[in-house]
Amino acid sequence: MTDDKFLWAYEKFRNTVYSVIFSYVRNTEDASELSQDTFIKLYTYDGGFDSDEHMKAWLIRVAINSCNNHFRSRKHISASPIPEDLPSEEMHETDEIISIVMKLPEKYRIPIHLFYYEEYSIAEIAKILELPEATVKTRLKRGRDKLKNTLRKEDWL
Amino acid sequence: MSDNKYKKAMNDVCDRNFNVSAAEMLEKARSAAPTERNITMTGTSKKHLIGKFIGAAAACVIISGTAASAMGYGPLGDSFRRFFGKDETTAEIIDEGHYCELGQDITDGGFTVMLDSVTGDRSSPKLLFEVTVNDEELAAKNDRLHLFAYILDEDTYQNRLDEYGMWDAWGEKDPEVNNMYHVCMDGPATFMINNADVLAAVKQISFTSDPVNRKFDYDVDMEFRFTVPEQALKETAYEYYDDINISSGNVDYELFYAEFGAYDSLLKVKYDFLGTDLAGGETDYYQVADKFDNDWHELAGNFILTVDGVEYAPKEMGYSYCDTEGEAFDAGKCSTWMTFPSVDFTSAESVTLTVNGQVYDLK
Repeated sequence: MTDDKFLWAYEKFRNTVYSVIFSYVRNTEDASELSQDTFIKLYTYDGGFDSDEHMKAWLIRVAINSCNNHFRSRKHISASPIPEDLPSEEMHETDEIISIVMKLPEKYRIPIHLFYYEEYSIAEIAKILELPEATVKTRLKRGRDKLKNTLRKEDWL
Repeated sequence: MSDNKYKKAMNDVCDRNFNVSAAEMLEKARSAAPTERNITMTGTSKKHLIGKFIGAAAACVIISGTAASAMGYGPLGDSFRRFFGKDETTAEIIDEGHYCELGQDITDGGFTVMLDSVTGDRSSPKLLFEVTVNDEELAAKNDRLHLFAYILDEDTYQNRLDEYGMWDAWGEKDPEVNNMYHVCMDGPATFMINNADVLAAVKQISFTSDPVNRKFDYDVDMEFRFTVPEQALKETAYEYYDDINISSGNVDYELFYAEFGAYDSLLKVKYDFLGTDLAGGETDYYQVADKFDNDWHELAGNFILTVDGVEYAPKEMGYSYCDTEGEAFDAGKCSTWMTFPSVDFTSAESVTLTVNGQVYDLK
């Protein structure tokens, strides 16, 4: 990949990569480190991309793989790990939304993130997460239900 | 979400926390990229990690250390020590005869993985793998590789796989064979004790350096099916208690379970958090989990395990899990754990736990 193309891709997709990783690891330092790893993989990637969307999907897939490896290599994680680095309440009003979404179990959190942040369709999320569409649909539904119970602000959904 | 408040909020998180400029990122990417590749390697032949006792594909051969010595192979534990020298506990377990040779080979793509054997104890079973990387240039660039596998029973693997994560372990390169790695992976006691039929499905092999293919993570699909005989794993003593209550002043902990294995001694406690002063009226445990973890660490850090007069200090303190949906305990019940070094609980005459001067009999 040329340096110019890499710089363009970084500026265009840095939030895409960081946000999906943050949604997984819920820790700003780890998210920053894993995001950089993902872009290094992009820089050294030999294959081509059919389109910008193709590159974006590739980056998200690589980012998710990095997160899975990150968790697998950590020992003694409790069954429901505690979010380590959620934004503190006093920082920004909007952080309340992030804080609440980040408390969802991973299997709901990631489809919710891809749906609302990336505005991917169910079919696209299914392809990225390598899950059946019906599973994605169910997880989105359950994730939304859990958010409704927590947010107590119907207009957010 | 209306007006996509989530997107705005997440962008805010990104802007505040991911501050690497494009120029810095390019510099990091450049310096991480491979610069040269000039490796010549010769072909190698496979060899097994321990022993030469390969039987039928799915057969598990139990060989005691004594028998192995008598057959002229020397102690099996010494073979283990060659590759996993730091893990003397497992080497000793193998020497005691708790070891089961499997010798199953599966090839997928550019990799051949052999599930060599099973050993360990009933608390911490181990699977020993041998991984051959056919791409010798890839092997030349990596002194280690990272192996990932599901280790479950057949029913769970087929029907409830998404509820489980993979186990993983790093493998070190064989000192004599350039493209072979030896991996000692922890396995789940739940699925490996009581003569269990086990399915170990190796799904991914990862490398930190991959200058040629630039994939780093290689998906594979290798399913090993085998039975773990009881004698392949060293015994662990399990104890259940229902009358040991320990108070920190803030929380009343109920010691309900202890496990005395070859690697460590595990104590588990459970407690209610609702209604405690520490919770301060909070009903979502994870809002106050840090306070409870701190309370437990402060209390358990002073525990003393005494076995026939010999005192042991704590080894590791766990972080809590709260069962909000009542899957493991009553809903709202939380649990946590701590470990001491391994002790011989079975042979001991007296085992006590001392907490701030109060002595509790564990045996």
